[in-house]
Amino acid sequence: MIGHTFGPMSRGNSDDEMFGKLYDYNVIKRLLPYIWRYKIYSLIGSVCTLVSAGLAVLIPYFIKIGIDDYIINDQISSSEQQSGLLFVSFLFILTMFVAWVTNLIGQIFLARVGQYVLRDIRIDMFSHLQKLNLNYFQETKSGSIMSRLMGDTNQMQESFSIVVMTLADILSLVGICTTLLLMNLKIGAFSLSVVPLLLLAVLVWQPRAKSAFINVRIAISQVYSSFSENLNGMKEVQNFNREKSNYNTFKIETDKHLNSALKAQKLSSALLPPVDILTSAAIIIAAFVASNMIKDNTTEIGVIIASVLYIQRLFDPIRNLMMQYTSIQRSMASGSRLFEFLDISPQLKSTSINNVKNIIKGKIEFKNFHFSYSNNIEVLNNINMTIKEGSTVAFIGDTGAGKSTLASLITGLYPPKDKGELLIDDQSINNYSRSDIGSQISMVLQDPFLFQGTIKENLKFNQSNATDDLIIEACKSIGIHEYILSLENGYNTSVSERGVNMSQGQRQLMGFARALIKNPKVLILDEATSNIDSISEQKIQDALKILFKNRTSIVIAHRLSTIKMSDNIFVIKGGKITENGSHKKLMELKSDYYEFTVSSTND
Amino acid sequence: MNVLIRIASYTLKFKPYLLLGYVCTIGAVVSYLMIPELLGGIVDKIDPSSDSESFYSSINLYFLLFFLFVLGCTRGLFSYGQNYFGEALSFKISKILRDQLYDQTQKLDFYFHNKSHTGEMMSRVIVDIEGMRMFIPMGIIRSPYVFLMFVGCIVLLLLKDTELALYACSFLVIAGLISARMRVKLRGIWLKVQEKNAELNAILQENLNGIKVVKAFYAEDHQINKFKNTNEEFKDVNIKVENYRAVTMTTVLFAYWMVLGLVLAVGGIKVINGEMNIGDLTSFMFYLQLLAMPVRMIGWLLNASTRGSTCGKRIFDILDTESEIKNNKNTNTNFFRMKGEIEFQNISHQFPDSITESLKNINLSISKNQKISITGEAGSGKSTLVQLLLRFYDPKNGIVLIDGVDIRNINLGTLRRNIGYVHQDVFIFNETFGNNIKYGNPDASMEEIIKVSKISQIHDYINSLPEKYDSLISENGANLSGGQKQRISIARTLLLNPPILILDDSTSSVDATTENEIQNSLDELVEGRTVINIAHKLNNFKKSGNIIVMHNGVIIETGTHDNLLGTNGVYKKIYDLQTSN
Repeated sequence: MIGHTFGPMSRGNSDDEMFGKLYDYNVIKRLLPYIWRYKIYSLIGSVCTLVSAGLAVLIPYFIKIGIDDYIINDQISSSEQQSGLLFVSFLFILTMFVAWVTNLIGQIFLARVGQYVLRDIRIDMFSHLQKLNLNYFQETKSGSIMSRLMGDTNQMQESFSIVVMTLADILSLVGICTTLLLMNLKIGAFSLSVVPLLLLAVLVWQPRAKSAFINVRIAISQVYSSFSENLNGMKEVQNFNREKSNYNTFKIETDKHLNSALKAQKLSSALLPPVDILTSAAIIIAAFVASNMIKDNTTEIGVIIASVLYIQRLFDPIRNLMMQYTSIQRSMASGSRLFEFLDISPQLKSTSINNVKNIIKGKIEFKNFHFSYSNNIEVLNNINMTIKEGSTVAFIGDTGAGKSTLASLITGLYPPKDKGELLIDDQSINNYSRSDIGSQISMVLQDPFLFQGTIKENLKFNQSNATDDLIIEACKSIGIHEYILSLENGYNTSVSERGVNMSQGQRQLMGFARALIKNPKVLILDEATSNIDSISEQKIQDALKILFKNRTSIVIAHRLSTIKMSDNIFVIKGGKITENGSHKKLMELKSDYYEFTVSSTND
Repeated sequence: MNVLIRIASYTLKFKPYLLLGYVCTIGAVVSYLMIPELLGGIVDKIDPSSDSESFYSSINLYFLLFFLFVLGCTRGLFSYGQNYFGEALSFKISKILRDQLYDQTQKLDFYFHNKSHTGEMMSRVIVDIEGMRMFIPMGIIRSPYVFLMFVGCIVLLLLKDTELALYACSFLVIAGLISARMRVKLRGIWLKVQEKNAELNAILQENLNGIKVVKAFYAEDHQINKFKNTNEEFKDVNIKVENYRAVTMTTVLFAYWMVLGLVLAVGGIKVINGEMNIGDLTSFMFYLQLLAMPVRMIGWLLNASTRGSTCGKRIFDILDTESEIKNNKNTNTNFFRMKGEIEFQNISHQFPDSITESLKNINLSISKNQKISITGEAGSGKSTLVQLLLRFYDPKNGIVLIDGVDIRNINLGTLRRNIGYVHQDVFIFNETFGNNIKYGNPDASMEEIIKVSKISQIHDYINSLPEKYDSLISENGANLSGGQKQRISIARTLLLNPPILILDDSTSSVDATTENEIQNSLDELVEGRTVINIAHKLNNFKKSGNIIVMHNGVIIETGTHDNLLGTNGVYKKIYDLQTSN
C-alpha cells in the first residue's frame, strides 16, 4: 500500500499565506486572463448584476413617491391620487420585473464563468503537476498538493460568487447612501453619522478574528493529516492494535480544532450586536431629525418612511461585506498559493527546440558523472560507464548504493545538475525533450502501481492504439494471461476492486506486460523481479529474452538468473563503480561480484 | 431513518446549546417583530395630518424612540446568541462525527479497505462533514427562526389588514411552491456534485501515489485526459446547481417585490379612501421589509438542507457499514499470551468479487514453536492464508484455531497482539524512526528498540543520521529504500515479542547480503516462537522443519527440504531452477 497523507499544510508559514490580503494584485493579474476567455459571459453577467442591484435600490424611492406625491397629497383630487398611485405601482412592478430578469441572467452567467475558470485552473494545475520532476514529489507532501489542487480551487470557487456579491453590495451601499442624501440631505447625513462607529468596531475586531481563523485552519489541517495517514497505514494500525491509542490522539486533535473554532465563532458573532444596535440608533436619529423637520414643514412623511427603509437596508450590504471580508482574504491566499504552484519551473522541457522528434537508438554513456539530491549528499561519485546500443547490462550492489538513482537519471526523472555528462546516442540528455525520452525509454518499477480501471486499461495504459491481440499476446508471454482469464470479467475486471487482493507478484507481472506492450528502445527493470516466485520467474525469463532483443536493457536485480543474462555487469558500491565485465570475467576476479554470487546461491 | 432527522438527533447531545440557541432565536424574532409596529406608531405620531386616536397618541415620542433603541440592543444580543450557539453546536457535532468516522474506519475490515480509496474517503471527511455541519446552524437553529418570522409577520399582517395580507400571502405561497420543487431537484444534483468531487480527489491522489509509473511510461497526457473528463463533469453538475439556485432565489425575490408593489397600490388606495391610516400602511411596509429576510433565507435553507442530507447520507453510509470482523461479545478482554499452536480446519475462502476460491479445503496444523515455510506461485493463496490468522478476513468455510480455541472467540486485540506480521507493502508513518519502531509497543525502552534494530540490520543506518532515532521519516518513507522500510517493519514486529511470527515475503526487496544478515540474526529470534515464513527463495528453507508448497489455493506438497527434493515434485522443480543458475 503506497499511501500519502494530507499533511499539515504549512506549519511554519506566514500569516499571509494562511490568510491572505484583501486585495492581491498578483492574484488578480493572473486570474484576469482566465476570465478574459469568457469575456462575453462575464460582461453580460456583470452588467446585469449591477443593473439589478441598482434597480433594487430604487424600491424605497418608489414607495416615497407613492406616498408623498399621491397617497397623502391633498392638492390633487382623489381619483387623480388613485390613478397616479396605480401608475407608480405599475412602474414599480415593471422595474422589478427588469430587476428580476437581469438578476437571473447575471447570476447564471457569472456562476458559469466561475465554473469555467475553475475548470481551466484545475486542468492547468493538474497538467503542471505532470510536468514537475520527481524531486518535487519527494520534497512535497502529497497532502499539501491535494489541499492545493482541491482545497484551494474550492476556496476560489466560493470566492467567485462572493466577488460578484461584493460588487453588488458595494453598489447597493453607494446607491443607498446617495439616495438617502438626495432625498433629504439633513436626515441622510445625520443617520449616516453612525457608520464611522461601525467601521471603528470592525477595525478593533479584524486583527483578533484573523489570528483566530488562522488557528482554526492549522488545527483542521492537522486533523485531516492524521486521518489520512491512518487510512493509509490501516494494516499496521489493526495489526499492531493501535486503534485505541490512535483514536485517543485523534480526539485530542479534534478537540483542539473544536476549541479554536469556538473561539473564532465567538469573535465572528461579536459583530452582530454592534450592527443591530447601530441600525436602531440610525433610525432613531432619522426619526428625531424628521419629527422636527415635519413640524417646520420642511419634509414629508414619505421621506421618513423611505429613509427608515433605506437605513434598514444600509446595514445589510455592510454586514454582508464584513462576512465576505474573511472569505475574500482566504480566497486571495488560495489564489496566491495556486499561482505560486503554477510558477514552479518544471525543469524538464516538454518539447524539443526544433519540435522534431529525436529517434533514440539506445547508446548510453556517463562521463565523470556526479549526482546529489536536493540535500546535497553525493549519491553518485565520478561514474564512467558506456552501455552499447542493444546490449543488456546489469547493475548490482547493496541497498542504497545508487543503482536506482543511476537508472532514474537515464529516464530523465531527475535532471542532472552536478558535474559530468550523461549522453544518449552521444548527445547530452539535455538535448532531448521529455517526449523524446518518455516515449522511447521506459522503466518497470519495483512497485508496479495499478490505477483505477480495468485490467485492460492498466495494461494499455497510455498506449491507446494497442490492440486486444497485442495485449493478450504480451500477457501470454509474461504468463499472466491465465490468471486474468480466471477473474470474473477477464480483461475487463476492475482493479480498483481487486487491486489489493492481487498478490505483489501478480501485480509485478502486470507491470512487465505493460512494458512489453509499450515496446520502448531502452528498458530499465528496477528490482522488478524481486517479488516474483521462481516458477513465474522461469516463465518470464524466456519472455525477458524476447523483451531484451533489439533494445538496450538495464537490469537492477538481486537475482542471479536475471543478472547472468546480461552482456555486461556493473558492480556499484557507495556511489562508485567498483568493477564491471561479464559474469565469467567477474567471477574470476573473485572480488565483490564473486561474494555477491556466493551469498545469493545458497552457499 | 431520515438523514436530516438523524443529523438533528446529534443536537440532543448538547441540550444546553440547543436550548440557548432556540431561546435566542425566539428572543430575536420577538424583537424583530416589535420593531415595525413601533416604527408605524412613530410615523403616525410624527405625521401632523394624522388625527387617528391610536394606542400611541398617549405616549411620548422620546419614550418610543428610547424603546426602539432598547429593542435594537436586545435584537443584537439575541442575534449574537443565536449565531454563536448555532455555530458552536455545529462544531461540536462535527467533532463527534469526525471522531466516529475515524473510529469506524479503524473497525472496518479489509473487504472495506481494499475497495475504498484514500482520496475518496478524505473527500468525505473534508467536504461531507462540512456540508453536514453547515446544515445545523442553518437548518436546525435558523429554520424555526425563519418559520416564526414568517408566521409572525403573516399573523401580524392579517391583524393589520386582512385584505392586504391575503394579497401578500398568495404570492408567498407561489414562492414556497417554487422553492419546494427546487429542493427535490437539487437533492439529486448535490449528490452528483459530491460524487464527482470525490472522484476527482481519487484521481488526483492516485496520480500522486503512482507518479513514478506515470513518469516512467510517459503517461502524463493520458492522466491529464482522464482528469479532464471528470473535471468537465464536475463543472457541469456545479453549473446545474448554480442555475437551480439562481432561478429559485431570484424568483422568490421577485415574488416578494410584486407583493410590495401590490401593497403600495392597494394599501395606498385604502389610505386615500380613508379606510386605513398612514401609520398602519407604514408598519405594513416595514413588516414586508422584515419578511424579505426569511424569504431570502428560504433559498439558503433549502440549499443547506439538501446539501446536508446528501452529505449526511455519504457519512452515515460509512458509519452504518457493519464490519464482518467483529469481536465476539463474550470474549475475555484481558490480554493473555498464547502458546502458539495453530490449526486450520477445512478452510475455504473466496473474495466477494472473485469467481474462483482463493483457498480450497486447507487443513494444516502447526505445533508450538514449530517453524514452517510456505512457498508457491504468485496468487497461490499464501498471504490470504496467514491473513486469516490475523482475522483481516474470516474464512468462508472452516475454522482457525489457536491453542485449540476458535479465533473468533478470542478478543481481536489479544489475537493480533500475539501475532507479529511482517508483510510486503510496509507503511511507514510520518514520525521519527524511534516512534515507527515502537509503533506496536509505545512503552518500549530505548535499549529494546536498539536491540531489535540491530537484529533487523537497520541500527547502523539510523545511528549514522544526525538525530539518530529522533530523525523524522518523511511521508511514507519517501527518503528510504524498499529494503530499509522492510527492515524497520521487521524491527517494529520483533519489538512486540510475539509468540507467533509471520514473515510474509519480508526480505524480497532486500539485497542478498543484507538478506543473509537478517536471516542469520532472525535465527536467534525465532527460538521460542511459532514461525510461518513465506518466501520464494528457497535458500533458507533447509533449516525449516516443515515446508508447504501451495498452488491455486491448495496445499500440494508438504515435508522437509530433503523429503521434498526426493519426491521430484514442484518444490524440486523450483529448487532446481534457483540453483541451476
